[in-house]
Amino acid sequence: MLRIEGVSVCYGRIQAVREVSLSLQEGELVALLGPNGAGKTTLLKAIAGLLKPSSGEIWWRDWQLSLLPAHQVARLGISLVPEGRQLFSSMTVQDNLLLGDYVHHVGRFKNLLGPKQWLIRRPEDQQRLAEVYSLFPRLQERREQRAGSLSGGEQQMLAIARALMSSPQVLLLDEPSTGLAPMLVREILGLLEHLRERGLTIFLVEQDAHAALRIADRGYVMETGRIVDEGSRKELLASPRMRRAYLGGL
Amino acid sequence: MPLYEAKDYFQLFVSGASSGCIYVLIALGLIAIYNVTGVVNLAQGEFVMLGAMFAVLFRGFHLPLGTSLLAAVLSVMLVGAFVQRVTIHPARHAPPVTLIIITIGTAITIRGLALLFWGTTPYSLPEFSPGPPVQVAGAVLSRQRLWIMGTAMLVLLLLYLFFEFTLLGRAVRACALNRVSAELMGVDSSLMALLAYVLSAGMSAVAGVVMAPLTLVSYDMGLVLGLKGFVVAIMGEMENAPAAVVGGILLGVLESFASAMISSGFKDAIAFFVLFVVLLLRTVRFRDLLGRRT
Repeated sequence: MLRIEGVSVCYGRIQAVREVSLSLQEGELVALLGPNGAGKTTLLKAIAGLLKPSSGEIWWRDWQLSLLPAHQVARLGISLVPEGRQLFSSMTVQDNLLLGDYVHHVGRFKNLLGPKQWLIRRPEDQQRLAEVYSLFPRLQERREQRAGSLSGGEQQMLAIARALMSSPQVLLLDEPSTGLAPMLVREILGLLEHLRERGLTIFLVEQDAHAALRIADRGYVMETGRIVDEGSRKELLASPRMRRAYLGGL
Repeated sequence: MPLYEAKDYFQLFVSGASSGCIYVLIALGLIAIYNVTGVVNLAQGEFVMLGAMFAVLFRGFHLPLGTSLLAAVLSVMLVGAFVQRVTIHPARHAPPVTLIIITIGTAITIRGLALLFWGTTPYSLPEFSPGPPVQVAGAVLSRQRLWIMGTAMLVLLLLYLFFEFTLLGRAVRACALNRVSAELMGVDSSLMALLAYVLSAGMSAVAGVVMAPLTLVSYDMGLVLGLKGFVVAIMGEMENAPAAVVGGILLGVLESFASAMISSGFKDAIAFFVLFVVLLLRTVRFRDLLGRRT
C-alpha cells in the first residue's frame, strides 16, 4: 500500500502541497484530478523522491519513501512517467528502453560493462523487451530510430514502455494525455486499464477528468495544494462540485 | 627563412599531431565532466602533472616502468575520486560560477602540494621503448611520439566502446542528457558524476604519463596544459567529442608549424590566439554567418 500522510511540499516560500493525505491499495487505479497549478505534479515528484516533503511522510509497504533519493525509489519498483515525457531524445528507442531496464542490473558489473547487445539476448531482458514490444508494436518497428524523431503519441508510449521495463509495482503517470489526439488518448487509457488488470497499481494525474474517470476505480480532487474531494468513480461523477468545476456539467 | 620540402611539412604535421593527442585527452576529460555535472573543471591540467609526477615517483621506488606507469594512472584516479567527493560533491547545488572558482582553488591547492612535495626541480622519465627514431614516410619520429599516438587512439577507442555499447556508458550519457530522467530510471546520478570525474582524471594522467619522457616534468606543468585542453574543449563546444579530437590535433599541428616557421616562443601563444578566434566565432555563430537559423 502506498500511503501519503500529511505531506506538505514547498518551493522556497511557496507551499505547493498542503498537508495532503491519501492512499492507494495495491492493484488499484486511482486518479488525481484538479486544475493547473493545484500541486498534482509536485505531489507526484515528492512520491518519486525528486522533491523532499517539508513535513509529512510517504510510505510504500515498509519503506519510508520520503527519506530516499529518487534512484532508490525507482529501484523499489515505483516508476514515474514524468510530465513532458523526458525521453533521452538523442538516443535510440531501444537505448531508452534499456535504460528503463537499468534497475535490474544495478551493481552487476558484468551486465553494466558488457556489450549491451549481449544484455538484450539474456532471457529475462529479452522477455521484458518482448513484452513492451507486444504492448507497443510501433516501438519495435522504430527501435533503431532516435527517440526525438518519434511523433508525440509514440513518444508518450515510449515513456510508458521505458517505465514498464523496470517491472514496477506502482506506476505514476503525470498527464499522459497532454497534447495527444483523442484517439491516442483512448488508446493510452485502454492500455492503462489493461495494465491494471495485470495487477499493476496505477496513480494517474490528469486534468481531463472525463477521460480519467472513465477508467479509474477511485479519485481525489486537488485544488490549491489541498485535497478537496474524494470518492469512488461513481461518487465523483455524481458530486455536484465535480460536475460544476470539471465535468462541464448541467 | 629556410625553405621547406614536402617531407619537412609532413614531419611537422606528424609531430604536431602527436602533441595534439595530449590536448585531446585533456579536452575529452573536461567535456565528460562538464556534460555529466555541469562543472568546467579548471583543475584538469593538474591531473596531467600528477600523472607524470607519480610515474617519476614510482619509478624512483625501482618499480618496473610498466608497473609505475599503471600505478601512476590508478593513483591519479584515486586522487580524482577524493577531489570530486571533497570539493565538487558538497557544492553540487551551487551556481556554476562558484563551482568554477572551487576548481580553480583545487588546482592551486594541488599545485601547491606538489611544490611542497617535489620542489621546483624538473624530473625526467625514460622513454617507454628506448631506441633510434623511426622513419615513417620520410618523417623521423621518436618512438615516444608513436607511443603517444597509439595510447591516445587506444583510449579514444575504449571511451567510444564504453559510451556507445555498454549499459553503464549509456547511464553516464543519460545523466548528461537529462539528470532527472536518469534518476527516475534508478541511475545514481551522483555516482555517475564521480565516475565521470575519475575517468577524466585517469585520461589526463595517461596524457601526463605518455608525454613525460619528451619533456621535463615539474610541479607547474599543469596550468598551461589544462588551459590548452580547455581551448580544445571549447572548439568542441564543450559537448562534441569528435570535434574536440579534430580541434586538438589541429591545435598541435598549428603549434608545431608556428614554432618551426616563426619562433618557438610563439608556441604557447598560438593556443590562446585560437581560443580568441574560436570564442569570437562562437558569439557570431557559424549558422548566423550562413544566414540559417535552427
